[in-house]
Amino acid sequence: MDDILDEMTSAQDLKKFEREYNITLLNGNLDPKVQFQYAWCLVRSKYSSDIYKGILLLKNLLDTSSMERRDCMYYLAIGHARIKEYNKALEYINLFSTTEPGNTQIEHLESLIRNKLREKRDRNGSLIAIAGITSLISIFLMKK
Amino acid sequence: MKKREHIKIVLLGDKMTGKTSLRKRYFSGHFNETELATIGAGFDSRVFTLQDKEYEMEVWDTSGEEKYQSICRMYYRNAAVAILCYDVTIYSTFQKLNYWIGELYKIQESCKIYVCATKLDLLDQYEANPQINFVESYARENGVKFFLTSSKTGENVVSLFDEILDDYISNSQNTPSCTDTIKLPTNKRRWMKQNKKCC
Ligand SMILES: Nc1nc2c(ncn2[C@@H]2O[C@H](COP(=O)(O)OP(=O)(O)OP(=O)(O)O)[C@@H](O)[C@H]2O)c(=O)[nH]1
Ligand SMILES: [Mg+2]
Repeated sequence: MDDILDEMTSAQDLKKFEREYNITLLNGNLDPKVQFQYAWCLVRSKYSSDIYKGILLLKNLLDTSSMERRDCMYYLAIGHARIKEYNKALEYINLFSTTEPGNTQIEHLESLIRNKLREKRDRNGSLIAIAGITSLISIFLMKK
Repeated sequence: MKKREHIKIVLLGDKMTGKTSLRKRYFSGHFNETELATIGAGFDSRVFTLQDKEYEMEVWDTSGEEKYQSICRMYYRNAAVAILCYDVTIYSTFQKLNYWIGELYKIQESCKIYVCATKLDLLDQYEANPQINFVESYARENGVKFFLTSSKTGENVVSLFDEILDDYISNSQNTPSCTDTIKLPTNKRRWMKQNKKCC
């Protein structure tokens, strides 16, 4: 465990909260709390498809329920960061700057995300450099 | 490479009892008068070496809010130690300790419990509720250690964590842990048998 972006829900726990959520769906009495708990498990899943689903459920909560706003925003940032959509993640972080300036938990998450973003840029940068060198070499070889 | 042993510590207790403040005071030495309610859980870790062995202590502080109670149980899994916090001046937070112990035991019965009365500095102005000697006998009856801390002044914070680590390390030296059996195989068959059993 290095940081909060790495921790994951086990398949078993995910199943449990999925079942609970499905029951409320079937009964037609959707409970924002149950939806939030299921989404929370999803965004911390190993699989991107789960994370996408979790993001949708959290967005839906943010639009429809007055409860859990800061919780939804926080886990939306985590969800997007876990599928490497760092800029989207930072948009949710930015929403806190008006409501809770100086919240250290948010600042901590923001710095984790910015580090990942920097790593990604560096990696892309070196990939582009490598691609550039390879094409130069092939041009050179072709000319020969 | 040496195998690092993880010591997972979880902080439990009602909201506003000072769990996050305790973790931060220990790890960063700071105190925030306006600490905000934790979203989900917060985390800090520290690596240290003792007698040639590497340890990593991981401290999780979970939100005391109702909506997180069933999901935050996941954090209790594999916790070696739980610090149960209550506000030294608020009786209802003390009453809830049994509830938190029940939550913990649903997941991790082997977890060692420490009770921590937080905000000790407030006793300059307010009465302890319940009385300290009452909590002391509660702790004695339940066989758990009891600490009074202040994250504001820092009083007893380091000694709480020091004692937890001391207890953990002296305890794990008496009973062989997974890493010990792997490190000292007497013969291969026994090693395989033990290896399968643990971890
Ligand atoms: N005077 C005093 N206040 C404290 C102390 N520890 C925490 N507080 C205050 O108590 C309030 C709650 O502290 P937190 O650390 O956020 O409590 P928590 O248990 O993490 O709360 P949740 O995250 O909502 O579960 C904050 O306003 C802190 O500043 C202390 O030792 N002394
Ligand atoms: Mg907290």
